[in-house]
Amino acid sequence: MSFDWLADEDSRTLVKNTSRSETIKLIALNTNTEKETRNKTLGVFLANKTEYSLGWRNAKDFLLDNYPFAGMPPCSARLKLEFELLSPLLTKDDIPYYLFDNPVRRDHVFHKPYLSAASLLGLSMDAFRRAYPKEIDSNNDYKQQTEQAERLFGNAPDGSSSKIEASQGRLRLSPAWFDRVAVLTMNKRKSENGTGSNPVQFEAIAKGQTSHFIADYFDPDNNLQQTMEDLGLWLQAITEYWPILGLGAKRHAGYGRIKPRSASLEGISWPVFSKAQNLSDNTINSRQQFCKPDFYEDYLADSGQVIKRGELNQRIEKLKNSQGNKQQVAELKQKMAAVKQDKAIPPQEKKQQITEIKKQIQQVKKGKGNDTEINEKIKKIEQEWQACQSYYKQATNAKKSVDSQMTQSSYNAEFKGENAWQKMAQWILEGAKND
Amino acid sequence: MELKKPKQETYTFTSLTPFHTGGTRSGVSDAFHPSGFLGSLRYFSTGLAKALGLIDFETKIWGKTGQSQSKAVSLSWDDSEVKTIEKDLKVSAGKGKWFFSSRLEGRLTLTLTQVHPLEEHYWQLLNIAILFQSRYATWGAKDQFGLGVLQLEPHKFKPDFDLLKQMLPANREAQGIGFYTALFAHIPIVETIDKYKAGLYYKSRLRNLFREDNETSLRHAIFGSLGESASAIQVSAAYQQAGQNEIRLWITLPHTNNFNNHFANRVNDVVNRIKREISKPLRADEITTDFLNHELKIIDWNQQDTPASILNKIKQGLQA
Repeated sequence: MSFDWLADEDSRTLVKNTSRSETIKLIALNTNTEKETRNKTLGVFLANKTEYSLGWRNAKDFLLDNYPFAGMPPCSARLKLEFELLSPLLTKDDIPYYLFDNPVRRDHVFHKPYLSAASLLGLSMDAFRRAYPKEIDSNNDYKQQTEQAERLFGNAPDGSSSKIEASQGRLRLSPAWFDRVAVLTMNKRKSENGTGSNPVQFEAIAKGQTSHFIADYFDPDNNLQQTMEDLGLWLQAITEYWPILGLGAKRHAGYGRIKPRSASLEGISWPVFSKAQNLSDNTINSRQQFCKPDFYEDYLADSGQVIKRGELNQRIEKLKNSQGNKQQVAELKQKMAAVKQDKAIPPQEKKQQITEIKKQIQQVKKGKGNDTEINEKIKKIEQEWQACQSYYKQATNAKKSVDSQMTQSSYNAEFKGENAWQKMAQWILEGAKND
Repeated sequence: MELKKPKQETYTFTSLTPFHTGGTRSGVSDAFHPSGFLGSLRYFSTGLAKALGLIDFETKIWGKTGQSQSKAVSLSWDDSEVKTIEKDLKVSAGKGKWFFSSRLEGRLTLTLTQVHPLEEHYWQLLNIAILFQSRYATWGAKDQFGLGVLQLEPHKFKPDFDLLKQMLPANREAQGIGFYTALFAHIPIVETIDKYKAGLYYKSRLRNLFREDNETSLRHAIFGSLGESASAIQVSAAYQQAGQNEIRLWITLPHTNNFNNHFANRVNDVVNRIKREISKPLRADEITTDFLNHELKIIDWNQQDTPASILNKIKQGLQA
């Protein structure tokens, strides 16, 4: 499953002072179903619009960098991977009328050259299979037998007789955008006389540019360890094989070679890494576990919030009454009833005895007897309730922060340099082991 | 899950003469084009494999269109230390004049990665071809005019000649284009100021060996003719290696289908004449006082040599 991110002009146009502004509609196009799956309108104000040439827009104004992280469940994560292009990248388009027979692929809105998300996803599946090989031919069979691959890339029925249950992959990639294009020539030699045949010209994305793409991992299970393991293995695979094999077409000939530059991770309810350079110690500083407790559902009210203190006290009271205390109370009540019915006891003495029995009943109900098991259970309930309160607070704060459309994200972890992707993969996998 | 690392070898080359990989305009080296060196390596390794009788080497390593067979190896070039020499150059030597436009020089690193399962002897042969081409032949285009000599820096690969020898057939028949007859020579010279002129003049002298009346077509087929035929013989510009100045010469036949069809019976004659000429003491005149032919180094074989003996010569050449 992959998405291509497109932007289109909305019909509304705003005029503000002397600037001309436009509202841009951001569309996520599901490349498998060709349907628009998400539609978010962002307001973008372009100053001095007449400066821009026809058909050109500043794509980074409304591409994925500013796209909100909204709607992603807890333990999901977003990776931003930056790289430098060391040799020309070939991505052929299907434009029927063009100057060359082999034009570079361009986005139909911005006309900027790009490497599509579908290409990146296919290349990452290839890297994953090379990194963790099995003696299996087809991709579908491989995914069926490798749970991490199935979660990451999903399953699609291939029309064969074997029934594969279709499932969406959890990994969503963005395209990688570029600015400059180069023209290359290939001139094959004829075997008859060894001279060049008709030289073929084709466009390629020029080398020397820096670009990035986004990888989103949607976690529907709230399983942080699983998310870390899947994402870490995926990143480890592309870190090992993409710099060697390259991206795009004719990569085995030397085209599409890349060098990682930086890796940034933003996770919902992920631990925060305060010292990114301390990876050599194999320790992670200031880890804060904000995972959803297993018993969380037991402490939710109908409103969806954690129960208040009053309701908790009621539960504790119920617990006290539900155990061995019940029997003692019943016995005391029976005793009290017997005293009341006994006509031989003088009224004054009867009154004293009944008061005494009532006191004992109160003491039993308060748990001041010798029932240590009840006390342990009450203590546990208190602790669980505190944990649920804490989780609810953190989750609410996290949701609030991603709901506000931040232009500058704060990252859980960030690495720079040629080894950035490798270090990020190590950090994620280390977290999966320690979690 | 354990990460599997790919099988790789890394080689770093330094240019002893400039090199050329083509460009969008004729004769211009605008940048390093990986496809140029890929084609060069493919041609050399395939030719060598055919001489050794491994006729399915090309399909196994380099793939074949129409048969859903992709390359078994990936080539990744680091050209960050390669520079373009922008200065145009005109050289007169012998009867002709040559024009060199921009060309490349510097340090280049190749990472060879196995991307599909491959028999070990094919992998060995590919790596041996890289070593041999770097030592005795040239890389890239316009090597018939002096370009493309690269020196290989120390590397980790250790050739296993015994393994390769076990997989060779006892004999082989010539099938199409290949290095069935070959000659590789290092011709030492006294230090010369004009390295291009030295190589071009030497090639001109060899070309003049084939000026008999009925040898025009043969001469064009061996030494090349614009639009008609590629050159079978490559003569490098002069360069310095291990403190010694030399010119590198290599010829492999048959190099084209046309040559195979028309001059197959002249192969031994051509190579022998060239070998005699480069072995001869040279005249001392105004032009050739630069040349000395002591310590001439030659590796050669012909169609009568068996694959095992050819491999042995390659081994001796690499170990020398």
